[in-house]
Amino acid sequence: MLTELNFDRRLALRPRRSALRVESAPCQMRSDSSRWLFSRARGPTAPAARGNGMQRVTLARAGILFGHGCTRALLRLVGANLLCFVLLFVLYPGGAVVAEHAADPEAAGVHASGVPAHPAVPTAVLFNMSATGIGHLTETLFFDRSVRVLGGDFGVDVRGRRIADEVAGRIGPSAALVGVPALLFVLAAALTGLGFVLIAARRSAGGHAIGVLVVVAGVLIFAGEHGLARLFDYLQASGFGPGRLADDGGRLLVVAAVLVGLAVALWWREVGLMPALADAPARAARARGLPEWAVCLNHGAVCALPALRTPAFGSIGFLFLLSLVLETVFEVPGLGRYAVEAFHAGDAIALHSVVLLGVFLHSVGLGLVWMAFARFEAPRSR
Amino acid sequence: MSLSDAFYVGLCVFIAVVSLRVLRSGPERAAWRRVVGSVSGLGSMSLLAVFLLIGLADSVHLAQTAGSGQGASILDELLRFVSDRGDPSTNPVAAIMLEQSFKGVRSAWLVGLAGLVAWLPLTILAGVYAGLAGGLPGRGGAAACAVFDAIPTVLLLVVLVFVAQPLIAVVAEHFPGPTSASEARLLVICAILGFVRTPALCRQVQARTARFMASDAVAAARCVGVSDAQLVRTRLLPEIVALALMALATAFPVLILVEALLSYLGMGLDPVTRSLGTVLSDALALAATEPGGGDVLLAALVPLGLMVAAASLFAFSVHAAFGRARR
Repeated sequence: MLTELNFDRRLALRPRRSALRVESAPCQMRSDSSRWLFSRARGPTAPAARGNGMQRVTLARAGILFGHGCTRALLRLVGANLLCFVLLFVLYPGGAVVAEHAADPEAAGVHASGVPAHPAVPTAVLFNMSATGIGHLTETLFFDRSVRVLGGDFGVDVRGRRIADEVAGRIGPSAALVGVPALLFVLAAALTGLGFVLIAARRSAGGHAIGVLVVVAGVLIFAGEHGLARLFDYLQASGFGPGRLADDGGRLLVVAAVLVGLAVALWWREVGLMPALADAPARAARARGLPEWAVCLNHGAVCALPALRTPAFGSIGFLFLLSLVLETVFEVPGLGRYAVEAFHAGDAIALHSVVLLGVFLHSVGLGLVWMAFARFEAPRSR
Repeated sequence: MSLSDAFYVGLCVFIAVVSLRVLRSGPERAAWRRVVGSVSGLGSMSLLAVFLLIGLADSVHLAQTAGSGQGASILDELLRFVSDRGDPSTNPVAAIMLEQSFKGVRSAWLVGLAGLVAWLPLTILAGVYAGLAGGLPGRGGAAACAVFDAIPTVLLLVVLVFVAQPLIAVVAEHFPGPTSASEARLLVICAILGFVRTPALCRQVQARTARFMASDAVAAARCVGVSDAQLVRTRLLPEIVALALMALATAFPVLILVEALLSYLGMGLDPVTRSLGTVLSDALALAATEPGGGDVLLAALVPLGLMVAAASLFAFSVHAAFGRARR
């Protein structure tokens, strides 16, 4: 009992910041370990830091998770490539012919109608192995195609255009059309989330009013007459759409993005922020006189951030859906539109290329999420 | 009765059997009582029941005519009755669009639920086997799920529908009647949409099985002579059924929306098939040309929004109730 009292007294005599550091040890351990991992691992203090066994364990866990994430991303890429290849060039009738002819621009005219007319492979290769042979398909076509794709050569589509050039030309409009709402969504969610943190910190009617005003002002700034909706005027002026991406459409997108951002921030407040602020370390820090804003920012907001990991997983795939729909609605020649055109033209090779690009971006996104998990969350979960 | 009608009636029977099973089982009944006890759960369940009845009324045909093979459905008669006594000042195009939206409810149930229900036994079987066997089957199953997970869902759907085009043509040859191609497309799209959600569920079932079999309770039960089959049947399966119900509830609104968007892009159902997506596509086209375009768009969006909102609220309630039960 005496020891505990002395311990508490020492804590009480320390500066407030230190009290929070001790009480919210899991959080601080996380940032200490990640700081050590990313800044001091190769520095002059590394040997001393390695002397700390706990940090070494933390480093091992973070390192394992980091390597695990990278390996998973690589395996996902390889597996998804194989799966798409099997689906599009083995199961789809004539897909193998398209893949073989795609490497030769002159031969692309053979199947310009979108219906391959190769006499050797009238149906799906899988059901007609005697004609072409599954060995030829896997040994030659799959590896040849994979190596070409790795070198940036996607071949030509059914219209005889080089897919790499098409994709390169369409990334810009696609990124602009999808990226602007996505950016606004992130900004709206971040600002609203900050507003909720401030509201939680003030804990008074005035504080609530200030928070609500911040949220309303954010919406007006985003969607107002002279707000960020004007960004779409720039897109319109850049010639991305023949009249469909007008003011109203652009503003509608902005409002939708901001509303979804608000909804995500609300959800984050319910499942992340408020439970973190009700945790024992936060209560103890308050009991020791730490200011509420410090508890909310240093403990509540930081500990609630991992709750966003699951939506981050989902949002990566959601961007592709957004790309498909928005580019069709606003007639913007982007990647999603290219996938839709390839679908309707029966162009397996172009579809394969777009899907591979999507898988690559998806895997990179998932890898980043894994890195964030290893950096922020894993050291806590001992 | 067409094949899709038969599938819809089968879906209704499945829902009835699950409901009866819930009423008999103690722990599940407690969890469902929590769902019904919440305002959002009760409201969403009531709304979904109304939509289910609308779909059932669209699947049951009163009398067969000699030419077309099947007569008007109960829903057709009801809609005709309502439109005869309706307000003459109503926008006629919007009224027709609203009727078409109600006729699309049946397709929404099929694409949102029937496909996943059809894949459910195979998914559970594969997940339980991978979880029980461990080793190579377990790792292989996890890797296969990870590969499917690596492709963004919408792109995977596009690829699967693209590859299924010849299959749809083959299936259509075996369907009698003038709407054979659209019927075949509806069923294949249902199967694809359901299949896309199966890897995640399979992975969850595998993880739950592995965790269950590694628990101390299982080790103790084995010591007193309880067989693995008995453990799986009496202890594991109820947990997995709850997991599957949560997966179904979560997937339902997502699949309705995805079908609507795919149909809008021309990759989903045949335009002949009335679904919420094809109706929305028609409404968007009409809204740009018709004078009262806003009404037309609203008539197409209201049933879709109501159904998705009700399904989402229901999924939220089920998650809350069953999640608490598991804790």
